[in-house]
Amino acid sequence: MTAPDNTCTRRAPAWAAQGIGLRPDLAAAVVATSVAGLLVNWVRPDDSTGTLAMLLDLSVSLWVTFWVGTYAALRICTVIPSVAGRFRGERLGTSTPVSRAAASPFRTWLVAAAIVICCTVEWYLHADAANPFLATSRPEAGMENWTNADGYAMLLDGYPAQGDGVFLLNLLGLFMGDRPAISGEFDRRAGHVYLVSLLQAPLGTYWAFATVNLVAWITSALAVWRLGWRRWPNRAVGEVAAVMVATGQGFIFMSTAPQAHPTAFAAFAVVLVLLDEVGLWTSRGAAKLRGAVAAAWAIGVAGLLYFGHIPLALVTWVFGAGRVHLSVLAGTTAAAFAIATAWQWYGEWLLGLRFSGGNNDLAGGAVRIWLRIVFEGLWSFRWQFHAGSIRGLLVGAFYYPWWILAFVGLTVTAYRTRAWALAVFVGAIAPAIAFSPQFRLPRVAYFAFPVVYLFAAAGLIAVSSLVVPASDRPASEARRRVARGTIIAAGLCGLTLLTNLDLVGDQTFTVWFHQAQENAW
Amino acid sequence: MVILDRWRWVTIGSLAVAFAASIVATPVETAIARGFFVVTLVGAVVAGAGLRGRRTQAIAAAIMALLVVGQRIPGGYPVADPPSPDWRAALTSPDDTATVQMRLDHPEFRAAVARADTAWAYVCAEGIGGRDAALALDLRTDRSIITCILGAKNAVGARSRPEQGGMYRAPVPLNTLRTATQAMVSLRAPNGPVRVCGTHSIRPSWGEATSLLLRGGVATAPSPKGPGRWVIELRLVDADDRLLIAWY
Repeated sequence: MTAPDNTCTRRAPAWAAQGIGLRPDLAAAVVATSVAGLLVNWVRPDDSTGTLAMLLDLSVSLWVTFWVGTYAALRICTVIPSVAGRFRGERLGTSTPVSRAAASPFRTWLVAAAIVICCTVEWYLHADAANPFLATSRPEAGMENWTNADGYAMLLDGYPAQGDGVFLLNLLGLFMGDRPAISGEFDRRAGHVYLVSLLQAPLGTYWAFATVNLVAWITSALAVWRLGWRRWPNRAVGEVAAVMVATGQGFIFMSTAPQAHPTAFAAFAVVLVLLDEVGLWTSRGAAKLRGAVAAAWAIGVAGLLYFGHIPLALVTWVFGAGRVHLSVLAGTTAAAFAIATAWQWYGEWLLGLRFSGGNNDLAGGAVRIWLRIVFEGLWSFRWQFHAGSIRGLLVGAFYYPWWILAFVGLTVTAYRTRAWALAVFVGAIAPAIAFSPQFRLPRVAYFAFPVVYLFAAAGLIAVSSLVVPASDRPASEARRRVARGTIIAAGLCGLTLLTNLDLVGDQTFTVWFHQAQENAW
Repeated sequence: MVILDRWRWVTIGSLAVAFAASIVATPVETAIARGFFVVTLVGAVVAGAGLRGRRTQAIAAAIMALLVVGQRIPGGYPVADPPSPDWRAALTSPDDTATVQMRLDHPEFRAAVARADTAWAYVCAEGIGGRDAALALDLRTDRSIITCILGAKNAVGARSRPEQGGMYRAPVPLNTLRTATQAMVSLRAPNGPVRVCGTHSIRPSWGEATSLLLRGGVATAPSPKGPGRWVIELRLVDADDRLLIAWY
């Protein structure tokens, strides 16, 4: 008997021998639990702790906020080598696509067609007066007490549309050469209006806005499909998640509304794909520089549509810290913000736009409120999480079934994919939490849709596999696959029914998406 | 010497066309604004498409150039100027009347009235101040006439100042609405001028010419700026105080 040839033995990676060290997600959970516990118990009781429902709402809001903050802080601190050494597991894998056999062209085209059809049907069903952004502002929805029977509406080319769109028309006129430069509420979102202007002449104002939204919706679903393909070993995860996007509350809510959000959501998802495709997390040398330039450009452009550059920059820091050199992270962020800010300088200097007033000032307003709350003391600080329930904000963006499935998906997802997804999640919802003293806007938290839907898809598939386990016998397995597919399809149908309740006159979920669930469960 | 393949030429050519089409023969401010976005945004789309290969990049560039050129097609739609959603018209003499005709046999209204517990007539007005009898509202159905007096005590909903526009409401017998097939609501200002709010008309139950202003025996459209309607509505509320429908 000969001794094994050691030269051919596969060496275990270092982390397998040394362990993965601390896990930032668990460390953040410990910190969040401790701080939330202290704030609930130490600060004098008030209405926010008066009933079990209120107490739970407050606790969840505090826990989520401190988990997000601590996780982001821990991850970003891994740019310091001594801190990175404590989180060795974070160096596991990065963005290498999971190896798998190529999908059949038939399956690929079938899924693509299903996504396009789904998005288009949902968009059509929620058009003009049925647009939930508009419908929830009607008095029947119980949300506004100042609007007339038509809600906060305007008539664009004879079609009813959400009223804020009127503030975009001067910018649109500027791009079309019809109007001079006039400052407006949404000067910083001019990139979206520029895209609309490309369709204005052939389609008219209403359909130009609506078509840009549809294209963004489809693009978002395709991008999430791609992210699932890159990050999860089971290709069905991306496909199921893409269907969730196509029937997603955020896109349904926006449908034909003349607003930048769908475009911004699409930019967010596309840039996440791009960050993987340019190898920002993995490449070295000249390829890394090219990747960083591309990433900065794309993130900056996302900032010209809405404030997409902020969550994307957070994602690059939270996931990239310890994986990507500090100079690359800093350079990418600085260049991205320079592009987004360049429009402001350019617009002020050459066009006389003011970039102030209305929605232009809301972020600064939120910062001022946080500072005031902090200086008022612990009671005021804790009260803010009751007055602006973060739980209500997140449930308004994604209702409980998605969170439950996403939690299941989180537990079955491999560590390296989970690290990426948690970074995206933190980057996406941190701005919504930061903004919450000013307004609770689930549509800002909806930037988390790629990871919430991917986790939820992984969860739905895991549930189907739990109910119908795999079999060794091919004949039996074929039947079982059909059964699993049926469970997944039934799950998707159930979720779709929830997001489409507005079509039968029930605006519960769309109202929650509009203004958050507040303290109600 | 760098030799560019044909796809690269298509890309460069398309970008050049897009840039030229954006800035040539346009107002200076438009050229400045477009120039920024054709460089940053169109450029980013085309550069990003390059990750999928030169052919994809060329196709993306050609599509973007087509869209930019399409921005300038002759005879294209102008930017819509929506009708004002919030205007005022004054009832200056006691004979001036704002009228709204409503259809009450519509299935949507019938379904709501069957579930309703109370009914209200809502009017948006400005300049009522502290007056208790500023407006007289007549609700004529095909079976009855009801008159309500509206004033400061009928104010409902948010407003920042007493003189500012806001909603005023008066209860209406539900049975009247259950049996009627149509209604005409008339509003007069018997004790001094009142400005009545108007808006666009999106879902009129009767038709486009639902709202009229009767002044000196002559009926005109309420808004001088085009078609519109008075903010005079019937609202039905259920036993739990949930609004079932706002109707006009």
